[in-house]
Amino acid sequence: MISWLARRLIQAVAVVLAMTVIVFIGVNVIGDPVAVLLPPDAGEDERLRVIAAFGLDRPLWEQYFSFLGGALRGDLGRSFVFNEPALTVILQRMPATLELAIAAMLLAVLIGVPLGLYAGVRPNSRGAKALMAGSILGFSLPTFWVGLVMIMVFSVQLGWLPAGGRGQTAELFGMQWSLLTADGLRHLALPALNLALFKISLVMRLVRAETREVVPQDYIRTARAKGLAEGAVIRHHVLKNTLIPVVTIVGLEFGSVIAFSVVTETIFSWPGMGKLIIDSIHLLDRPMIVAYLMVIVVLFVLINLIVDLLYTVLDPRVRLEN
Amino acid sequence: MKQAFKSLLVAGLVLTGASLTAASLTSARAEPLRIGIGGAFTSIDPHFYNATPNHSVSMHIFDRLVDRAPDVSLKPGLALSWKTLSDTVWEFKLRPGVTWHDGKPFTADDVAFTYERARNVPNSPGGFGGFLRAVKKVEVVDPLTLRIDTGVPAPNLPRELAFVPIISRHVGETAATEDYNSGKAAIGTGPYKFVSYTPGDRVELTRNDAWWGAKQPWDKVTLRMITNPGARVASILAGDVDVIDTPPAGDLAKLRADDRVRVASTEGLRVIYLALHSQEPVPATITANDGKPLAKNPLLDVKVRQALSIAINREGLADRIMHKTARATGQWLPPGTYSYATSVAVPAFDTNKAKALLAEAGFPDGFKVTLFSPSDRYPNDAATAQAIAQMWTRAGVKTAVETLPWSAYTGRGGKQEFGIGLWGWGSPTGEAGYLLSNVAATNDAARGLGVFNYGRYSNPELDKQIVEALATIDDDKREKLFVSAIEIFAKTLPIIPLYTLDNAWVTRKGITIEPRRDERTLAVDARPAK
Repeated sequence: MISWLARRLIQAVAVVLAMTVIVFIGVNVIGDPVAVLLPPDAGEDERLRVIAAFGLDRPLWEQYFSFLGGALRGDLGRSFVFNEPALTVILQRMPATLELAIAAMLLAVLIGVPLGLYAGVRPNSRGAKALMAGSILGFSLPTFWVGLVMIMVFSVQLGWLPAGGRGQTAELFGMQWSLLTADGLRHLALPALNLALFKISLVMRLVRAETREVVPQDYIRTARAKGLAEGAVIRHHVLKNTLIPVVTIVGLEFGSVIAFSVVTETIFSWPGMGKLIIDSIHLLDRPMIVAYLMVIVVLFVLINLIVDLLYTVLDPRVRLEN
Repeated sequence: MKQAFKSLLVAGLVLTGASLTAASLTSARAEPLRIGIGGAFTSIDPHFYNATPNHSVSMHIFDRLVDRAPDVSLKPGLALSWKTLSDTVWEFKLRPGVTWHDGKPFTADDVAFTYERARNVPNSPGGFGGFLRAVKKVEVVDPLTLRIDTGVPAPNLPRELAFVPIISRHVGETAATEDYNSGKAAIGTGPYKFVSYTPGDRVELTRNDAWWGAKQPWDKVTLRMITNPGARVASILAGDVDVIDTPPAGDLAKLRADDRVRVASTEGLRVIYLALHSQEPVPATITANDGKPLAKNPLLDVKVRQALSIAINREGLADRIMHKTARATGQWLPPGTYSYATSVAVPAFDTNKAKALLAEAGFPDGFKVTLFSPSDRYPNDAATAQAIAQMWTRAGVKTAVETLPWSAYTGRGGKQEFGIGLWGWGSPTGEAGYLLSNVAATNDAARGLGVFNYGRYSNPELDKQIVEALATIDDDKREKLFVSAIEIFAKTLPIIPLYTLDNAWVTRKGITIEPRRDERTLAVDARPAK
């Protein structure tokens, strides 16, 4: 276990290092931030001042190593447009994205798993067929379109829910959460549902497929033969054995929701990290882009670690040493 | 029982008192105003970043020495009057009795401090130095009199000072950008006081009852950042906000027909134009019809420039591509603005004459060009470029279009990599000199001329006219010089102007807003409809 963890950590550091190189070179070839940021009337003296202030007059390798040195001390650079440490800006936005991701994944699991189980256990029932057909819609309709339709219907036509933005927040653990207020939940409902739609379909289809594989197995037949109630068979034997791939997918999807909820955040004006990275790319705010991608890489490494650990809980046969 | 009666009585009294105060508050109109802003504002520090959304936010909290009406004419701000003592010295008389949001009095010393600080904000990605370039020395004569020495004649000084928000010495001296964002240093003299700022999301403000200007109808103002145009329109239709700026051109017709909202628009100060590479050698993207290089750059020939200009159906662009949100122009300011040349008409669309001009210039069969355009910077920029390409091709100049995202476009354009590029230029000063000196004058970094002359066009006759105008203090004389510069411009075409963009706002029914030429979105321009 310890040696496994150590190996994983070394791998993680290598991945992060490789990412810093790729990202750093990448952002340095896509255009000139000074040309984007400078106001139209700025003169040459102003231009040179900005270039020097951002350290863009130094060679790339020098910029890279000073970034690396800063990163070791927890300083991922200073945002060009906010004039605040990039990490601070990201952490300010994190609760908004986290709660959106948590709400969406909760919806996906709470709706997707039971429906998938049902469709797997009774594959020929009409309900199961309807669910499968519906899930195709959930897969194939583009998120941005569904989001816009939801806004048109629920906000503009019916006026039930706000069209966007984050509601009132309350403080918990020193961060601002809108999950804790009624107004916040009203604002959260549409974007969370929008983001969850694809995941619900995904989880449902996955659980259904796994269930269909597990149900004909000998141990299920044995469980039934020894007289266990059908509910208990499904809860203890079917569900538990379908969950390993589900946990993997949910973990990865959770990461991608946090990292790439750009579309939903933009449509619903949700002030999270997805919107931040898009705005930063538009303004070529290099330190912001680099810091963001670093945070995301670390996040994915952590999620994968947790997923691997969860396997051992779900299936005692899994050994981490291998 | 007696005890209960007594407490009931007390409660009743308290309630009457409470309802009385509530009544007196509502009589002084207490309504919140929620504004959805399309641009991304990045700081509360008024001198950190010179960009329109940041200006919109800071103009609520801070005042300027000189203020601008929605039609960009100048009016008194923190200065009641100003005059020149000589060609290079200006005297400003300040408004008496103005106080900061923290109650301290405003004096000329605060202005002197501001003009020092505004040019030296650490890490600013584009600051206010440009507006203060003319300010050489600031002298505080007495608490309400200020003299500014400009060294050389600077007729535009009041217009430039209208961009610089005034901060106080007592708060500003020790404050960094973070202190403004946290609200600690967000102490202005303006119509609204700072309440809170959530980066990337919103700014909350409350009315400053001690403001020197007219009494404001809104007790609270929320500025929300809604950068996606579709989301902005949905928010106003759903009633989440009361005002939005920059509605997408394609939605305007529908919004005008919707009786839940009103649309207010005015001619803006931004022109969309084409910059032609005006130096040898010939850019690689301009070739003969068979793809072979040309001996000399055809764009240097004024006949070719004129041909390219009249081959464009400007009215058609404004009408169809821009959905009537733009106006065809042969110059760059809306009619009626100071220094607009009534003698210069919109170039008439004439494909045959364009062909004839090309033949006269030695290109009877035309040539081949690539028209570069950003794809995400100006409304319908790429569509405009595609339409122009078709018009030019019809006139014999075979045109291909290449579009790029702005972040990549601007860097390449700055290095003169485009033969022909589509650009926009705002003239927030509301006078012709801003474009003439930055875009049309010969590139001369040392003198700060032609900094944005992307085509590196050069015309000494025009330069002379521009330089003379820029040094003329008398407004009427300067206007005459500008007009004759625009007449030279129209004959020689340093750039090919296409159309000016309208600025539009959408408000909920029950609210009106006075549309501004300078693109700022301000609560002081909004009123409850009668």
